[in-house]
Amino acid sequence: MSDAPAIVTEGLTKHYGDVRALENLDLTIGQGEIFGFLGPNGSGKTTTMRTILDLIRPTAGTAKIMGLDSHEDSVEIRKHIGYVPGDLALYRRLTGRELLQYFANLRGGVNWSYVDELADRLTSDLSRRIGEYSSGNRQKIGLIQAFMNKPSVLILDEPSTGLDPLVQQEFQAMLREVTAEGRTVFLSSHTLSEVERVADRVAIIREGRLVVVDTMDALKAKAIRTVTFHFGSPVAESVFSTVPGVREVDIVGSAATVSFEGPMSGLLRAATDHDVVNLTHSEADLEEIFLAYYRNGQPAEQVGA
Amino acid sequence: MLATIFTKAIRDRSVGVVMSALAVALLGAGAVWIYRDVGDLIAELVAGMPETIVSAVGLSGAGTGTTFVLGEMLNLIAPMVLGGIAISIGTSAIAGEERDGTLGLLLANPRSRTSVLLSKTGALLAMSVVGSLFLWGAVVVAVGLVGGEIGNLTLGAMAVHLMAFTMFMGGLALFIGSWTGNAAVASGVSVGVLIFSFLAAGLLPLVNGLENLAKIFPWYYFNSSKPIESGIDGLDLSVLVGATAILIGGALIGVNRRDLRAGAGGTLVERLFKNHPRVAGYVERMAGKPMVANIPIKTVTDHQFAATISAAAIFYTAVLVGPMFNGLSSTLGELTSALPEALLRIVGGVDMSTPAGWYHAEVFSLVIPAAIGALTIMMGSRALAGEEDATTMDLLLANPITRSKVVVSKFVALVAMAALLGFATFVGSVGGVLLGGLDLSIANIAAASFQGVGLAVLLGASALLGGAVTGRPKAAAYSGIAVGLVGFVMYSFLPVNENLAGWAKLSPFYYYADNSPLENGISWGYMGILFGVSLLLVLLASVAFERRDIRN
Repeated sequence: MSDAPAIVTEGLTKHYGDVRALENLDLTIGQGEIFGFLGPNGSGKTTTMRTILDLIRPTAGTAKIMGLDSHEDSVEIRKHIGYVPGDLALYRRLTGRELLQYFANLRGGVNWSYVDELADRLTSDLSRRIGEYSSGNRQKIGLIQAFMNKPSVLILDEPSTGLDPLVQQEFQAMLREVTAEGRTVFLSSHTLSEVERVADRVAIIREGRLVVVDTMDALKAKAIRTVTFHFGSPVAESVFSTVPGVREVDIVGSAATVSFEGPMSGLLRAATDHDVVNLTHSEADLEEIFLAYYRNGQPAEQVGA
Repeated sequence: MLATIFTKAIRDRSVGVVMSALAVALLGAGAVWIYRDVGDLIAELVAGMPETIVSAVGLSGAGTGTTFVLGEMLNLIAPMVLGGIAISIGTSAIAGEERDGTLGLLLANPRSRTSVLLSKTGALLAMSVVGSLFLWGAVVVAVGLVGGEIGNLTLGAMAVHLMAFTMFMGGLALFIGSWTGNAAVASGVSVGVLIFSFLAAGLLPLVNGLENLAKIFPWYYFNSSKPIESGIDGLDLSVLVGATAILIGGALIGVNRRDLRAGAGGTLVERLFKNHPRVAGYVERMAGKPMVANIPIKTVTDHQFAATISAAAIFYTAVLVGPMFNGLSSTLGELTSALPEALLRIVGGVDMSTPAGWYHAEVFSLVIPAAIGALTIMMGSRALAGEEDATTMDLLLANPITRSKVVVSKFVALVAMAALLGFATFVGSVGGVLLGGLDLSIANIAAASFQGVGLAVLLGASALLGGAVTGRPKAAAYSGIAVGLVGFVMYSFLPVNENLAGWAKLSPFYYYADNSPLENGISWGYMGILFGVSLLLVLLASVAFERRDIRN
């Protein structure tokens, strides 16, 4: 395959009459990345994925997969894609194995020992009719069919819906193996902890517009963290309030609780001018950031500021 | 009464009711228009025929051309259509909501089962009244527009009888649904009663000693008193109303004493599998094992169950009709010679005293197009729109195949299935001819069967195109059914009026039957037209399907 990015969208726009499902979306997803795609319900995640797959056609803009045009070269593209739709529906009359055989026949290049390995890892029973499966077990079949031909790009719309925590863990391990082989994952999910665990980069969209794209580390660095210093004697609020990045200072007795974003060094310098007895630090709350973006299209620190 | 439930039930159906009533009225007006010139003649002829024959072929006596035609519409088509809608409302009221798993949610509100059922009954009543009145009005307007005359027909009385009959059919479905919670049983049994009671009410009075048996069927109380000519029959009407009241009372008891089902979900077959392992065994054997080598093969095996039943029904009908001919041929000859050609067309079109005419009338004119066409229309509507509706199309198209290939693959499956049923027609008819020792050419039977395949393929392709354009299975099926029904009506009725006869060539039925393949052998030209048009429809379907967004 080419060295082109795995997925590129340029000005991707989709309107349904007056409804602007997607507005001018520019995304570039490199090969070998796990790219998390987040947003509230109805924000345009599924529309983006279905457009990339040529199931729906953009009102404006283009999408390219591995350098190929999503519409012109759609058949060639689909030789290299694995897809799990958000609203997964399968042929209820077929058994799991029959369904996988059907798609394998249409797709080619499926190694059955790999299929059995996937089924084993996800604890999926392929011998039963799909109509008899629980939704979680149906989801496993959806995952196997997406992974089975070792596609270059996996487009996964809410893939862990209905999976139990053990299977979720296995699924996340599978995602990491995919990227270790240089293959790409485009993942939309409402399970923020899952995205936090596996994604290299994250995009958040809201009402069809891209709000932010950044690496997970940068987002974490942007997150507001809280440090509590315990001093030998009370200190004035002004010790911290002038330090760049500090958002809030709360003095109670000889303890000072400081909320801040960005690097910590300035804060530490200000504190060590005084008699620091102890220090406690709370983790960055990524979920809070996501939710702030969801609610307002703004990162948390700008909210109410 | 729960106004909300009532309004929702009305809203769910009002379009269907109004459209159906309108369609019946337009059909009536169209028929009046076609028959303006020849109707009086037919009416005169019918009046002169013995009562038994008139009743046997399902005609009503007396009146002018207009009244004769309108009578046919209102006595047969209107109760079938409105009765069918009422059954669908009655079924969905309780059993349908159980099937969809929504009844539990509805009853989680602080409302009793009794009040829910009464609200739904109210909606049923409202729809019966509105449907009948609307039909009455629409008929008057439509007939006026084409310059026909209502004459002294008592359309109001007809509407009242229609209302009561419609309520009864809806009440029956409601009753069965309330006791069983099974939507398939409720609608299946009720539709069976609707059709069977029509046949029984028409035929039983002709049989000596069985005349009174007709009185156990609701159709008898609907129109044996001929309300369209003689006005309201109070006694018959009160029987219908009383029976309906009993059904609704029974439904109230049923729904209150039973455990409700939690969203049975899944297809009818799946529920059978769960509840009746033995039935499931038979069904599974008939449905066969799914095969997944490619799209056409999978599509064919998906429909194996329906195809098996259709093939068996076609085969037995075709076999049995042969030996029957010998017992009836003399009577048939008399009947045929007594009828003018215009009238013959309505009842099947040909001289039934010859083996070819007999087979055409009994097997090929209606049974074959209906049986094979039903299957191809079903396959055509499920091909694209069905997969979109089930949202499996997204996954199918995630594979490296073009949309056109999906369209063509599904069409290939449809042709294969039509050919299979055509073969059943051929083998069954040959069997019947041999059993009855009839003088009918086997090559011509093959020709007629083959042309039947062509017609069915065209109907299926129409449904396929409907689905390719809209992505909605109902719209797809209606496209196929509309082409079939309009085509049948055009081919059967237009030639009656000389000035309109040429228009019959627009009907696919013309190219199926007009060369009388049972007598004259195959017309390759007609076959070419049937398959050529089908291919054109598939091409259009491919273009339409390639261009649009897949529904989600």
